[in-house]
Amino acid sequence: MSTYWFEHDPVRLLIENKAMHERYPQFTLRKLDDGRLAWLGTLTSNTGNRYRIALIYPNNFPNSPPEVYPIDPVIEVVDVGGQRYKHQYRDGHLCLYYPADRTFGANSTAATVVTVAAAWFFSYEYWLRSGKREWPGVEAD
Amino acid sequence: MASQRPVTTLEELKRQMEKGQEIQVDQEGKVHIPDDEEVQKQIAEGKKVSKVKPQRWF
Repeated sequence: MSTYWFEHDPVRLLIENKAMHERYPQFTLRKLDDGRLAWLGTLTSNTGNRYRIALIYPNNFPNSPPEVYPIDPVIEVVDVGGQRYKHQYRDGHLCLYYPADRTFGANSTAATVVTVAAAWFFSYEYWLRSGKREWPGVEAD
Repeated sequence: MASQRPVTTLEELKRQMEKGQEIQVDQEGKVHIPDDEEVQKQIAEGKKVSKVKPQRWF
């Protein structure tokens, strides 16, 4: 039995590929050394800032969601004390899923996740403009 | 916990991503490198992914 989700679930891979090509054609699909699949591409915010991100599918996708990493520029979201991450996990991937809001459903694709990541960058820029004091939306922690 | 800041990890990831092999998905959902003969054949034949049924999510 194959190890990778995209080998035993090619239909799901087709859905993912189609959704990304239609909504985010600037992204390319890549295979990492460890065998995971990832989309690499750049989002441009409404202020013109560009964020290069990597969306990585976990090996147990779709039982676990894809993770989005801001790789250029590398972004750290820390509180005023400079220690604690907000809206970002310790390995740097963005906190996009607030369990209570049930945003994502059974058919959510990487394209939906990228869209939520774009909203994350909107909030990030708002947070910067507020002097790192206010993040719009719900606090999950 | 400053030693656990993600910068190193993210920069490592950036390098991994940039050197990662770009791939394409054929009409059967199999992954190929872009210059794979099967992909080129499908492109030449104008084949595209048609309707696919949504499947489960978590």
